[in-house]
Amino acid sequence: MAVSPWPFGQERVSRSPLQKHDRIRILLMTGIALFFALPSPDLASASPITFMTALPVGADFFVLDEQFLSMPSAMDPTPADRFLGVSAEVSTLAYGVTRDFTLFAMVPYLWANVDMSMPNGVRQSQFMGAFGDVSVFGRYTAYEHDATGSTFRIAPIVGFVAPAGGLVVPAGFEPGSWALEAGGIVTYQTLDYELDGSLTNIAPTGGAGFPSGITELDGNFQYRIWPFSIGEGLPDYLYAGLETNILYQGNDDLNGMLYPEGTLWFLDPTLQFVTEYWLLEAGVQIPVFQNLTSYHGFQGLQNDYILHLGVRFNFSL
Amino acid sequence: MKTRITRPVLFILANVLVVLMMAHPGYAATYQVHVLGLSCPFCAYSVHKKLEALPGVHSATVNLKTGVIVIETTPGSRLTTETVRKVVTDAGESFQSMQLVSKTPHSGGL
Repeated sequence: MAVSPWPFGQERVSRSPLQKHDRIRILLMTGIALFFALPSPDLASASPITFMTALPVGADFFVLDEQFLSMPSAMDPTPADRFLGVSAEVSTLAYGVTRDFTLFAMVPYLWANVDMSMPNGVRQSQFMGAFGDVSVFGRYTAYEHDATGSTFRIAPIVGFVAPAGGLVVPAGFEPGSWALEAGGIVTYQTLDYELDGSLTNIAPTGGAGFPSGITELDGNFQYRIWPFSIGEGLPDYLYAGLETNILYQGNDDLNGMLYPEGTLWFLDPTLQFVTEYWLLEAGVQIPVFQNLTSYHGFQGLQNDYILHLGVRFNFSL
Repeated sequence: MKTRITRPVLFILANVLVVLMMAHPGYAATYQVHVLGLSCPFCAYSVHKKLEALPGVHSATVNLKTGVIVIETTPGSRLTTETVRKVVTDAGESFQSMQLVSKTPHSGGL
């Protein structure tokens, strides 16, 4: 279940200044979008930044991940000339329940800045902040083949998304529904490089406020660029990598908010500095293809890019 | 006169030498553990820490390139293959083998 930025479909040209329900909808949408855009890191090792890997977390060990995201969207084809700037701080904690089963909990905090032109020519701006949806999921190592200096693993994942409780919604507008997540990950890692692949789907269970579901296909290739050769001991690593994310969402219509069908494709160059105890990572998702179709007159906002900056820590109690 | 002085001196020196040898913090045993699946430094954390936390383990040194972890124990301590196998497996890796590299009379060995 990796992530997809999906900040489109919610902006609607209003014939009056932004009302409270518009602000709430925008915040909900950015929360939904950013949730789907949020990374689902495998915290166990050097691994992709934008989606999960199948590498393990040891039994009774923890990994804490803190990641900052910046996601501006200014490519608006409509006269409203909308700008949506979303940032998030995502905290993820992984716990190795057993050597094969790892539990993850992810909590984001979002900031959204919306800027758009009204029909009367006035430029309206609104800033909002709130906790996003909480995600809890489990990953199980279904197949494993280990050799000296390498490992190959296959792991299914399953989990759910709980609606954030910090949002205030107006009467008559239902809060977000729960969503289920499921998918599978394949990972092959050697001393020199790593390959990951993931296919996930997130589907709401019903209720208002959420898209009909998002399917995502991801890939990652990382290569150790430093040290040039491994000597004795446990050296630190510097990886350079390239990830890719392809996302598809179908049309959805709820309570007057229309989510246009769309397909997104990103390429993400990354850098990761890895030690035994912590790692630092940076990556940027660059849109290669964004097909955000118009649905009942609503045109989605395209992403400019998505910046990821993160740090992870290993620890045990 | 010379004999009377030499024998007590030698006796004292011999006892001092024995005491110094007993007080030297030498390691009871050194083991080499071959681990499969270790392929990056962040991955090594859990197996490294779990091995170091075993009773009687003085140190555990990871060699990522060869997948070998060298464990040195304290005098009088002994490690069994099954104990180390469980620790490596719980850490998420695979245990291949363990060999005793060296031991002192204090060690029970494998």
